[in-house]
Amino acid sequence: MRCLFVFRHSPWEGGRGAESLDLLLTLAAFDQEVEVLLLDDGIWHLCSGQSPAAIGLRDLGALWRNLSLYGIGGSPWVEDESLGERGVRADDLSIPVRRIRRGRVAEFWNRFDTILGD
Amino acid sequence: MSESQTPAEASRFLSYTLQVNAPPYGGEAADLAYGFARALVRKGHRLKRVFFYRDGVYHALAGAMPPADETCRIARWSELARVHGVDLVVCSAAAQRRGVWNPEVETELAPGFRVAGLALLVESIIESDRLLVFG
Repeated sequence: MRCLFVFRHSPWEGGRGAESLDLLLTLAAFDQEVEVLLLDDGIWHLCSGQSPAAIGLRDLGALWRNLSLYGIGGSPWVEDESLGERGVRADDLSIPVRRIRRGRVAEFWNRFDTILGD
Repeated sequence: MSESQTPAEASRFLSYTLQVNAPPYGGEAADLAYGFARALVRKGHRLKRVFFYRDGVYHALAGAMPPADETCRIARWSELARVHGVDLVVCSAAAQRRGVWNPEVETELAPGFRVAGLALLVESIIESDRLLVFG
């Protein structure tokens, strides 16, 4: 099964990010072919220099940096426009990413059997 | 597949897993999930499992007593499980996090609900023809 996990919410929405990563890593543990796409406020997951503990959230940075250890081989995909609209450059992200233009996203989704979201 | 279906008829039907992330009293998504589940079983499709995740785990709270002139958005799932044998599963980690379920003490859940890990959701997704996520 080819599975796409789409993050489009910021990492500051209570336990949403942690529960999404739990599901993502469980999928990967079942040897499914899983890729990750960050859209809209989802791109903030990969921005450096955050202090989630200051607002009572778990630090998910280590999980993001080590996705390959959990069986998610490819770098996450990040939508160019989502970065640009928020004034974030791909070079500033905490891990290497693959970039995709907004106009290509719909076609990209068609490559997958199942799409999950955060 | 029900016993009255021939194999040819059964092949017309798909198997489904529903993931419900929305709480029972938090908007339209949980209502849509219930309506879709009910339509599936009434039409003879195979509803493999309904998995309640995130705030969806509040569906398993026992003892909900809405006013008499309101539909109980928890009891109707229990009824679906009782009548059609639908497997209603709440995520153990999400339920524990919210105090809906506690492995240390015996916790009563609404009738028809049981607790399991995320692995069961992933297994259902892999084995079903379709996954629909609500909320």
